[in-house]
Amino acid sequence: MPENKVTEHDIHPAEMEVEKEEKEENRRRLLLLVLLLLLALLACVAALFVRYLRRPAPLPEMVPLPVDVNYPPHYLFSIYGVDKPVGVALSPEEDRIYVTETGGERLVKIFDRGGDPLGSFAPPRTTPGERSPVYLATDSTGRVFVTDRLQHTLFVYDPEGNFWDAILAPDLTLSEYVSKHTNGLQPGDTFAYNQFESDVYYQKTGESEQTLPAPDPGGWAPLGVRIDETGRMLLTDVATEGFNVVREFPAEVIMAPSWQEFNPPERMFGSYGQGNGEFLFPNTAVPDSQGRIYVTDGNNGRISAWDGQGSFLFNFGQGSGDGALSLPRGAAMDARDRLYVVDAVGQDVKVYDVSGPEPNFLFAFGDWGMGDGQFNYPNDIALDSSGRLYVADRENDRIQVWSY
Amino acid sequence: MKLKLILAIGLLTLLALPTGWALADNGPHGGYTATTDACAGCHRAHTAPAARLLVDTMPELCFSCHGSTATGADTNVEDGVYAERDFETEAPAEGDVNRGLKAGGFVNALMDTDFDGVATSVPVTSSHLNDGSTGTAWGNGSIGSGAGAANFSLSCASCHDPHGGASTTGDATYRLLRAIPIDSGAAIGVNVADEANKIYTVSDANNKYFGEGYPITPGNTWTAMDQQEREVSNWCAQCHTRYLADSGSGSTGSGDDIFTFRHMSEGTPSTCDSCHIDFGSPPTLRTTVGPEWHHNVECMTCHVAHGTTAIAGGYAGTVEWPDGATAPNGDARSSLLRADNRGVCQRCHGK
Amino acid sequence: MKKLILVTVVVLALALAMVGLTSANNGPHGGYTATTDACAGCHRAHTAAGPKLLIEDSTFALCMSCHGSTATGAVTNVNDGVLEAVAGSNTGTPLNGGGFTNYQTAATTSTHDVSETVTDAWGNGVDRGTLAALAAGEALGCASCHDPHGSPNYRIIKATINGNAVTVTQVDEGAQVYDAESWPADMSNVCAACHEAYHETAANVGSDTAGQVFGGGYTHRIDMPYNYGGNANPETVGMGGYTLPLGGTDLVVCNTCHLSHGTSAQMTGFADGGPTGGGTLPGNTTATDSALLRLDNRGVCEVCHQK
Repeated sequence: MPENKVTEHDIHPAEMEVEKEEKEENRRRLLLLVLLLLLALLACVAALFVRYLRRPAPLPEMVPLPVDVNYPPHYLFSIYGVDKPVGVALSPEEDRIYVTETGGERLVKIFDRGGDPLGSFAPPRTTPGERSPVYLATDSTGRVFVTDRLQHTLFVYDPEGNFWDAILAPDLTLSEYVSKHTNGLQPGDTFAYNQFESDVYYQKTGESEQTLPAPDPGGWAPLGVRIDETGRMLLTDVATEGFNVVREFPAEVIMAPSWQEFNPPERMFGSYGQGNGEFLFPNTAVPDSQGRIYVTDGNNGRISAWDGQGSFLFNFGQGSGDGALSLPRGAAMDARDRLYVVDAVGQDVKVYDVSGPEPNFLFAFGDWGMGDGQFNYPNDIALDSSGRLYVADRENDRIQVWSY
Repeated sequence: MKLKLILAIGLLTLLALPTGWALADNGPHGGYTATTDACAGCHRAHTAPAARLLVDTMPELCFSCHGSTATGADTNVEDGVYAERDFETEAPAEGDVNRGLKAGGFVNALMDTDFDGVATSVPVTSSHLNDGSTGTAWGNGSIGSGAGAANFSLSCASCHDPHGGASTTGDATYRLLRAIPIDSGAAIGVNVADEANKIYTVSDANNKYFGEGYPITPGNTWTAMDQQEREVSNWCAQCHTRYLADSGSGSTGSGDDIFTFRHMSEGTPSTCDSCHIDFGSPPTLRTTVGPEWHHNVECMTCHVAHGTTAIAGGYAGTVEWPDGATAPNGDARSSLLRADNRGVCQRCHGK
Repeated sequence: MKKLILVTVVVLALALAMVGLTSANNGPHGGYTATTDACAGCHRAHTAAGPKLLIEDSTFALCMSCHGSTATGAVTNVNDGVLEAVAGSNTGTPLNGGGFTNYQTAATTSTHDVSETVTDAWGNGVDRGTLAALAAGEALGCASCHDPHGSPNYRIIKATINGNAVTVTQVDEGAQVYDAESWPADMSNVCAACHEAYHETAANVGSDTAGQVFGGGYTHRIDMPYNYGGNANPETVGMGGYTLPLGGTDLVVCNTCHLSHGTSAQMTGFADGGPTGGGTLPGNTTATDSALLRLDNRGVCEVCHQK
């Protein structure tokens, strides 16, 4: 038996008191531990509940659009994980959502229909401070066209976000420029352009990377891009305060397999100003089924309508009252020739029926706020054939999904 | 009473100005009709969630046009660059494509702060807070009133009047600057005269920022130019009261515990030959003072108004704040300066 | 309290920026680039506590932030006249320039008073033994002789002192030796900028007033070879273990006998007599009259003359 073993007899009353206190202390510790575990459990349950609440809505059934009834859509859910989004577009199969961010890393982000992230991309060789993706569109092959306000360039990517080519000026692509200075390009050759650098970088298959002097920045400023199902591209150009136009690029130029010979005819309409046929920061131009083109004339606070030949028809949406616009930005047209216009400081989406000879305001949806179905400087909209509407809700850092 | 007067003038201005969203005092900043819908764009009469009946706090509203997307204005103040190239009708051009804005930027800026001839668009290291958060308006208040006004909140509209006509007499001002910045405590107001031809970008093709400032009218009399430049410093000093110092303030104490000896921020350098090599026509001026648009030393000689990418290493990065605080330090102490570290001192003093 | 904070911050700043701070023409003292950060070490544009936008209201106090007894900003502790073995340790060998408060562990008996109150200098363009005002507005301070912004001169001596152009050859700036004396031959130019009348360099000025530039009686010749008259080499031979430094290889310069900053030499008897013509020497705050001499009494005479 060890000499120092303490028997109960040896314990002084004061020591017993100490032991009692120790026991009490241990009990308290145990209690605290249990309490903490309970709290952690509660937090887990709460987190799961929140996740449940924020779960993406199940895919709606493909319901044909109502033919002759006009009522506003309703809010479905939101896609988070985007930093100040301003542009939104859908893949031709409508299974992917492309979003431009103007905050943070300033990427183009890809989501699936349920709102789960699939990836992101940006112009090669650029830092966040050197790029600003704004509006975007896809063509029937799934390529993604993205305008960039700092690069003054229209970047084009494959559906996965791999850089494909760039339109540097109304009559110049990057592949054309590199091709002409390097005896042609072959499949697999890569190239990159950053307006803040003095060189264009290219790499031919099996060779090391090389440079050539960058072209003068094009005298244009592509802003809003839309591509119809044939491949025709409508692009707004706000190059200077004296030069605000809508440019039209024919389908055969855009859909050509290569852009190494890029010579579109110069087709554009509009000019700078406040009068009829004039624009102040035209943001997007969308066609209807009858060949008309509608332009969101941002700083004039109106929609400008044109015929297929580039002749001015009329303005609407000005002034006050129902359907009056404050700062129209992104627009989209549905199959029934209903024009959806995002009003950035009106904090809603205004919808007009333009199928008849006169445009007719139908309804608006959304209001200012941070809750479900409320907007905080919305900027763009994309529609799918199932009746879903995707709205870039810039200051709420989300894409809102609405549905009929 | 004064407020009512200003409101009345504002209302009259609204009624009198021509139609449209754009181009009176510039863009949507003025030019309202009697039945304008513009108000509703930014304000709600009874259901406004933000102060001044705004639908939201700034700068989000302002960035809708002036942000990195530049979807409604050529001046991208988020990135501190001019968005377009003016190649057509305007002379002189308002700015050049992707040239840095004179004020710098709030998120990024394109500035050659180390004078190596290359500017890169990178995040700013210091800027005027414009996001509704609070800071200290250093030097605000009279002699002996501490380091400044704490819990000071800034927004774009603290300095700029989005409605235009912002002078005490309702005239256009330089960059829509309010005669009295909101909450500055100033009483009289300073009208900074608008420039005849608006030029938004720095003159140096490589975006070197030194040698820029409030543009005086070339060919004006010396006295008139002097007065013009003093206006700008006096405007800044409505918030940063005790930073305003005339020449001689570097050797004569102000009586203030903190802002005791001060580099002059208005007035001419002490001697003519601080700037002039000769007085020919045009005069030959010292190269160390940069392209001499202006001859005065004013706030804008060394600082930008919005934000800078200048770095602050070593000594410059460990300078204590006026209240004695030593944090945050490092590049956060770049103090909206136009050059890295103390490059702005060297441009003139050339030690 | 605020000053204490300021000083602490400066000291911290300097400590942080120690790299490249060892050379006189380096660190905060010169070598500036176009985007230097050194200005902020000593200046504040808007919140300066002192004139010339300095962070201290006294130049001496500011310099002592690094070069003082407790500062960790420099190994040259000019306050105690010690080249610190370890910065701030107060141990090491005596500095070439002497000290302002202590020298060789004893309190100084005479110093150049750099508190920016002295406005006169002996023999300043006037005869020896006579005071005359320094150049307009000048009050003696550290920056009267040293240029904190760097200089092509030895020990960042200013290119212009008291309105006079000064050239001093750099002899050991590269090696940065602050305790082994090797004075440049033209070192007396520094002293002559204010004490011009003492800088008599013609032969025989000690016995013939004809060659003198200024009046004031006979005077020891300056910048003369030590062996003039067959004296022993004070630098290599010396007397009784005491030596004195020469300028260049063989010249008796002001600093052969005098320290620039201050001395703790004791003057007793005859030597405690004040200057010729009465009065007291500036900076003499004790009964002794050590005149920044390197050795007690007239030891400096004996090292060469060995009478």
